Amino acid sequence: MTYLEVKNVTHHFFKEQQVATALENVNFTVNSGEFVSFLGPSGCGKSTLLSLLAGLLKPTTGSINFAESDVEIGYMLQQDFLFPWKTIEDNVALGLKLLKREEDRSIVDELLEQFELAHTKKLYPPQLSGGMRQRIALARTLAVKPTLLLLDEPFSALDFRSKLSLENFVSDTLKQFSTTTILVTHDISEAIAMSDKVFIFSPRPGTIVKSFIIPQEVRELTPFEARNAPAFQVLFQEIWKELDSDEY
Amino acid sequence: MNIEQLQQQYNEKRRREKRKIFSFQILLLVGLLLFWEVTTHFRILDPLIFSSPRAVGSLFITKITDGTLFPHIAITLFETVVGFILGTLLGTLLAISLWSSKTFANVMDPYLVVLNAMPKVAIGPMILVVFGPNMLAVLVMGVLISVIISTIVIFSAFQQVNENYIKVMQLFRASKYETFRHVILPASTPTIISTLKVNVGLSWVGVIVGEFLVSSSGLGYLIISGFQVFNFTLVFLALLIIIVLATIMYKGVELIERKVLEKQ
Repeated sequence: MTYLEVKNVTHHFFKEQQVATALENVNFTVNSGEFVSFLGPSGCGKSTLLSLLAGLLKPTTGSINFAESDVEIGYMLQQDFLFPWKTIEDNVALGLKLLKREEDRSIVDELLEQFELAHTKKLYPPQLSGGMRQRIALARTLAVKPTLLLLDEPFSALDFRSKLSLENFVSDTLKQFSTTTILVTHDISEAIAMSDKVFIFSPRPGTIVKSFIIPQEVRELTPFEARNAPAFQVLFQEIWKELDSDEY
Repeated sequence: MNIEQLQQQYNEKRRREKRKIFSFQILLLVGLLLFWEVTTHFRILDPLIFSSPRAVGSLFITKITDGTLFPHIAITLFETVVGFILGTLLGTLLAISLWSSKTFANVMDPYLVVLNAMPKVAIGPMILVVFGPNMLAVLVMGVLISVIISTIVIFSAFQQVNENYIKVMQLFRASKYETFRHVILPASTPTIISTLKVNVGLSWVGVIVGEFLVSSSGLGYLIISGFQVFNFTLVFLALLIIIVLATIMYKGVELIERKVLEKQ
């Protein structure tokens, strides 16, 4: 079932001296519960696309349509951006508070429990490690029960070990919640290991040049195991070639 | 065992260093006072102009015992504290209004630049005429001198808050007020507190200048009246009291700063 349909979306940034085209004629659909990745070089407009989907920006032309009217979007940024002046508990509860859904506050404890971070409840973000903070940021995002989750390179600021374990963790968590997810990244392995579908973006102005369906056998594995699957290597080579040919 | 000894040695060294610095500081103070006393005693410096530590000390005791000093101290202290609090509060409020409307901020920009550049004490006489020669004029002077710079500094702190924090708020559809309360204000608290430190000094300037002009009470008045009758012992006494009080206030604000920042 199609959950999200993006049609002929083009987006420009206007400046005094010039007009920058960030996205050009982007078309794709995402099915309910699917995990989709956008892979492309830095500055190809991937983050702009997420901002458009989140409604922070309006596309210059084109349309973005959701199958349901009741869409709650969760957005995870490259860094955690937890508020250092709030406790972990209050950080996770932030969305509920702002969306006036304080009655759902029990989910905060549930999430922290599930993420094995209940002991950090009363601590402040600077007291936690980077990987822990990013998990808290995920909890903050999930607390409002998003129907669409947008991940903007959420693992890129982490060291390799935390990155791998967090990938597993996120993939696991999202499977439980069966949330439709869009991940933006420039890391080929990450895209293959986590997704059902991968769209390749060209450099600026960004547009989709190719899409890859991840084989079922890779999808079923955790992101960490997927990296060792034979099919993974084949796909990696293919995508690598595709990206390589785009850049020149 | 050995490590512990080294640690002890290290601590001992630090303690000795601290004691050394402190004794030099005391020595310098004693030296200065002694220099002052000796030079005026032997008339190398004119005691009529430079007074002497002994004269200032005995005047201090007389004025304390006859109770003529305390009211002046109380008035100046009150004016400074109120001027300082109002200046910072008004500055913060103005900064909030600038933050709440980009248009307003852009319109006000050149005016803020001019007002900031203008030496506020220059309009002292105007204030005296408008508000009359009373405490209100002194307070206005004390507030005026700190309010513009507070506004500018705090507003620029508001603007420097990491955009991504604001983005997080937007994603949860936060109102402007909520964004301010949950992000802008807590993120700028350290800056607001450091303007407090600057404002302590500025308020003293404003209040003393105000008292020079109004000339009816306070430590600034004591300086001016002492000067007019060539009683420089009184001038030095008032000056020393101001120095001590201003330092205590500054240290107090520093203490508050440490308490607040600790919490964050």
